[in-house]
Amino acid sequence: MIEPITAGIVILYFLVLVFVGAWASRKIHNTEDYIVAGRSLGFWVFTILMISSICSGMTLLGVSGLGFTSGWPTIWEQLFVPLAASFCIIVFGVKLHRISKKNGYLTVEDYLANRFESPKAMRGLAALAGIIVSLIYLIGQYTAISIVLVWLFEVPHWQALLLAGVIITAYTVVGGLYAVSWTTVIQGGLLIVGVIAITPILIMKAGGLSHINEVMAGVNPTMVQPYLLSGNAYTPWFLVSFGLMLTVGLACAPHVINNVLAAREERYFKWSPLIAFAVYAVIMLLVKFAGFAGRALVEEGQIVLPGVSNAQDYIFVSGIEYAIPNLWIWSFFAVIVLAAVMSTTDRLMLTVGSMFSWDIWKNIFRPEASDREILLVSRVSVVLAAGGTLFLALNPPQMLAWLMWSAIGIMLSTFAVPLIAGLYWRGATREGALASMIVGLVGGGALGYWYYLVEKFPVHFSLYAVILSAVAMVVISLATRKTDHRVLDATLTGGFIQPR
Amino acid sequence: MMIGLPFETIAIVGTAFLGVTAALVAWALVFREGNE
Repeated sequence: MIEPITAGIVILYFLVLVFVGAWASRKIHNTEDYIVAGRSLGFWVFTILMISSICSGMTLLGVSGLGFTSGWPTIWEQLFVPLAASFCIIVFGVKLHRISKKNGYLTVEDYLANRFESPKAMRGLAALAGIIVSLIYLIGQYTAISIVLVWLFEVPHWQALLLAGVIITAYTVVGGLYAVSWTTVIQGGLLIVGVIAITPILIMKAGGLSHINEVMAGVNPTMVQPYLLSGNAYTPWFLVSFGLMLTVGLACAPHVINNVLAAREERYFKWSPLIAFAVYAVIMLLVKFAGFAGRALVEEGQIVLPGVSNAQDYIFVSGIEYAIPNLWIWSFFAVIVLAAVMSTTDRLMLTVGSMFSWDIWKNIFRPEASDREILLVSRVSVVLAAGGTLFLALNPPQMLAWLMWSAIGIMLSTFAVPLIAGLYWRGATREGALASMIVGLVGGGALGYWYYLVEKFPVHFSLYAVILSAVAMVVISLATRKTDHRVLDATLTGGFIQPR
Repeated sequence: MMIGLPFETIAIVGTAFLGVTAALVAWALVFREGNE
């Protein structure tokens, strides 16, 4: 059974989150407040929101698990994922922020609809694709949360999911992006402090970095190589496609890119790419080293992992249990693990709610809808998104697993080409954008299915899908009528930096 | 049996991280708010 001290600390943490939600709800006066926090996020809140939106439940569990299983060749993930935050701010953020402020956009779909002169088809397709991919990603997040809660409370899977789902939904529904970003500051702060504190202890307990590497080399010499020379994963060519998928795919994920609209000032984009990368890379590297240390401890019989199929995902929590026998400190770390897995979930739910209420309800079906009505629809859709994905996470259908693994790859193949071409190529047309998005979504889905269930390719499937999407954009754009130059000027389309 | 740290691996990985950090510092130095 759970210790009273642990229960007390976790409940206190949940109460703080609900309190932040209640405080944030007083700042919500209209849809703009709810969806983009009134474009008022300061430098640090914005930068930590960028990190935490990307830093998902997989960061602690999956990253240390991968380090545990395969060692150094997987370290490139720690370069590419933090770089996604910087890429998003530099390549998308600078322009989108400026255009959005000028034109009052609330979502990236507002931009796509305007840039491609397609208020219904482009907007609807982008929102629908965004909602589908976000929901799939959300199921993966809830699965990660339930691993932590089952470990923490020793309660059945469904109770753990319900508890987390109710808390996250409560503060997201009442406080919108204000609540999501401020709870993220608390969650991100806890995560940073916790990982920096725990990993050195774990490394020392495992005998130091030299010893850990010697043990890994003894298990398999490839574990201490920078990449693999054969096989289908972590070869240099695979790493190129893997890097493209993580850096660009996460950068254009709807729950990440929409954050750039909420920053208060453009000048934040000067230093936030470096700070987001540096902070996130340090955390990710430490978590991976914790996975290495865990491998040494398991090999030497100090830690025994549970006998489940995804045992490697438990290495971080098992490492904490081993390294910190003190119940108070251990309980604090339990909250940190929980914080990491909750911080992406709330942002995803809010993104689904915003895309449905603003892009589909207001801009396609009911243009006359009042602000009050949009807010209500947004809140109801957050609850429905939470309920639906919780239900699917309780008993994940077999077919869904490959979709969850494919989600980032499909985000890349669906959104990267229309966004980059839309922002930087004046020749990109409405028909080209629609074609590239459809080809990317359908091609990404089909290739992802083949890659995970039928046969692996020499590189990640998303590379082929994004090439197909780019070809569709170029060929169709060249064959169709050019976009009005007034629209191109109004949306600052063209070279990187445009005069005001 | 390898003794000590895998220095070659650390050198390759470290160079990549330093390269990216340097590029982001360069971005911060050239970025100007507004119209440049």
